[in-house]
Amino acid sequence: MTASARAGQGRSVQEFLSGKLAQVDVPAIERELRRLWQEASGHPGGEQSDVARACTLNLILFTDEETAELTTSALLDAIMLRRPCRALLAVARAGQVPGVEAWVSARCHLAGTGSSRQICCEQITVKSQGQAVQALPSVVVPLLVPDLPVFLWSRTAGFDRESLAPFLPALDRLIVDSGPWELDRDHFGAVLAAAGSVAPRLVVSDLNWQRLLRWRKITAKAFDSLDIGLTPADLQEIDNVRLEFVAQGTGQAILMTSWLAAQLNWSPLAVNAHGDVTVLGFQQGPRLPRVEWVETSSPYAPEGSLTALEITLSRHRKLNLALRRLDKTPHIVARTSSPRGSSREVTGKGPELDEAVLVGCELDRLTRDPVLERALSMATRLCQLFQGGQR
Amino acid sequence: MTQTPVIENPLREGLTMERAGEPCALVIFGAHGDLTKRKLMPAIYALFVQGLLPHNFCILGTSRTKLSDDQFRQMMKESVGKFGTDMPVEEEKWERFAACLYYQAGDTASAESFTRMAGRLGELSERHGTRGNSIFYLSTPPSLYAPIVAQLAAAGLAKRDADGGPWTRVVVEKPFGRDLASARALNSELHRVLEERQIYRIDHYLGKETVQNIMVLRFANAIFEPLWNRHFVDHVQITNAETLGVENRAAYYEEAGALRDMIQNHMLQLVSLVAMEPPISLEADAIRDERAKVLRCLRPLEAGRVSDFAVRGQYGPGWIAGASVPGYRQEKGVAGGSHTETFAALKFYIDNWRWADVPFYVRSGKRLPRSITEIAVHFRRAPHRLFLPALAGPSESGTPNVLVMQIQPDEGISLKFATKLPGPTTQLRWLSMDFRYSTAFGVRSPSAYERLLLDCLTGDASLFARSDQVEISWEFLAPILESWAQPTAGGPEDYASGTWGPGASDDLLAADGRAWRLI
Repeated sequence: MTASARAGQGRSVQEFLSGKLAQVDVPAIERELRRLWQEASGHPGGEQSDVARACTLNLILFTDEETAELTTSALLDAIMLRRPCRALLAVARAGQVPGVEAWVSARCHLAGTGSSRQICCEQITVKSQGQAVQALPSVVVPLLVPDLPVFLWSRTAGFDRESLAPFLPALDRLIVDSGPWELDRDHFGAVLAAAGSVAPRLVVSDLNWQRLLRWRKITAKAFDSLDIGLTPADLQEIDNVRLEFVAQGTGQAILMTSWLAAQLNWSPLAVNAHGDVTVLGFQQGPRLPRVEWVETSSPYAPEGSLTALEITLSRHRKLNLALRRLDKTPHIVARTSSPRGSSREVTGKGPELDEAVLVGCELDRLTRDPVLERALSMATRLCQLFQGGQR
Repeated sequence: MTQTPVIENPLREGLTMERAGEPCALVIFGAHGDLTKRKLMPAIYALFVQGLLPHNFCILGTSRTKLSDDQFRQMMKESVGKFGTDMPVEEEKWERFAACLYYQAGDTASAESFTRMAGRLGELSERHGTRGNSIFYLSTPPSLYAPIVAQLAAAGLAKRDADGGPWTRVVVEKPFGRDLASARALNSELHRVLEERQIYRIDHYLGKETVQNIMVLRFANAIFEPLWNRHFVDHVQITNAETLGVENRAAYYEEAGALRDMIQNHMLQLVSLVAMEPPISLEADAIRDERAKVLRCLRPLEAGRVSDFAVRGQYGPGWIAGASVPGYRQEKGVAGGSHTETFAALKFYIDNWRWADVPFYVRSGKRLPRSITEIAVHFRRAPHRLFLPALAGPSESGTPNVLVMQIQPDEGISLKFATKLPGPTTQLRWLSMDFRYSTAFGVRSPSAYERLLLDCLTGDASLFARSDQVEISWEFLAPILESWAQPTAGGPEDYASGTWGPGASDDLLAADGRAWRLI
């Protein structure tokens, strides 16, 4: 090897470790990565033996964003810092000219305070365009590190079942985000069908489900906690549920309603939308509970997020349970009130969870969540009812 | 009699609520002391920041020093800032945390102090909704354990648990006695007031991530357990090495020594985890039963043969990390003719079906070349040494496969195995397949005290020592303590600081044709 070639190669290792994208030939991605790691670890004769390569899982981030490498960079940094992995950024772009390109880069952080040792993970970016989008799985799937769990995070507006189908047999977990989804298109059903096609291996998770965790917990707790004063028997007395959410994206309202309905064995009867209000009718034995969704606005809460949930129990109890997001904080206060004026309340505290934290939570678990699956199934029924009503 | 049927809450399904304890007040005796400043308060603050403390919670510090609540808060803030390195103090969070911190000066010998404490706890229960539940953390000299518990009882503060009523838990730090007789006496004093399930004997080693991982490694992986017995394991080595000397603990250490300070508690607890049978469940007593069984199986040492199984040493002057350090007898507070051992090594057997005739070697010492705690399971050689001539170098002549669980620092697990050198050769090399927590998981590992305090708050005693374990371990060590206390026994063998202990430690293994692992 010539001195200039060696110097050039040294620079590419530096760039690789600094996180810059280095373009590589698609058929030679793995070979190029091996070469860069070998050099980075000081073999042969290198000087950077303080680099440790870490990988505990495979994460495919599937997106159709034009500038995905920019918009996902900070996200992947945050995720890989806590969960070392091989990240495969799979970009499927629309376009006339078909093509596939690939880049590799490392993401490194110091092993600990005062340590000079760098812990590094690798990112492979594969961008496909036009008809070559079909070729994307054939590039990405062989790059998965064997024997480690494979997660695919679908970061697209809807659920692109057709593009994702070839990935499914290789996956352990499919992560979606139903936050922006609406009733008029049944993405929930598409996800369940996709998972069902390779069942039981593939487990589905939804970032939106994790976002609703605090709402679900405090609602559940309200019905068996001394602090609030309701009992599980009161769950059979629900007449009306009113959900308020910030406009743009009904995903949280759909999933929260679906969870309640599925867990309480409510059968959906009708879905009707009138302006900013949507009314969903259910049947529970002889009872006919209903759920109202009301769009609202908030300078503090993110788009689509719940801001309030009110549960009215049957008339003879005359009790209300109200959960409300506090302004300026993501904390939720749950309060019961009776006509006699007595009231009790508890506060559920916790930070607003960003995308990286939400994905991180999903990467920590591999088990199936039957409660989520039932909620998704109920959401599908709600979508179908809504679409039936629209026709 | 008819019973009201219990209706399940279907909304609870699938929701794992955070592990937060029930409402309670935590009373720290010795709140002005080093342990509170260095370990307890940083750990409690870290639990607070992570939202793991109960909503209804407060802390009452107590010691003889006169301080106001505000002075105590300020002192604790400085301690958390200084010692809580991975959870820095944030003003807004600290303000909220400090609002549940209180202090009351008191004398543990004065009944009046405890009466005042009862009144204060009553007020705090009202203010913070702690429902009369209390944890008393005795961060004091062990000689005060029994008197404090007796005073708590006299002041009506040490209630035996009753269903639905307020509960009391008492946390005590090691040493749990200094020999079998004193351990029994202490247990008896504590049991006079408290039930065993109310006593949490803290051994911070058991709170370490890798120690907890021993059970996971053994019982969640099907590949190790079939090998974990006399048919495949040649011997087990457990090393606890510190570069530090006695520092400012001479008064305590002169009375204790390495055997009492480390081996009776930490090291034997590690042995019990490595050697235990699978528990029938993860219930606290199911695990503690199995650990106690191991200790019951320790082959008693014959009084006349102690020197064949136990070695002691004391550090002399030497070099640690390039700096000259004094010998133990030159340390401040140490008697010029001290016979206290700063190094102890033991060989023993566990007489049960699984471990018959497998030697366990345990060593612990101060002023050794590096600070490390590890458990090394040395497997037997391959039955036919087909590649022996191809093994290169004298360091390759040791026992072939070794599984090392490194407890501190750089917690992790590694497996040593042979592989072929590349090329047209049959030369072999030993390689180590490494797993490091810090590399594999970017998440912060909670400190041992965080984990153990949280367990205490939630009433989980799995990682705490039980009275029978304590007594059995003292009983096992009794012949050594008695032998070393004989006037004719002489003193411990000197070793230079910065070396791996006295020569007799190496001889202990050499007599069996083995050697300590080169660490």
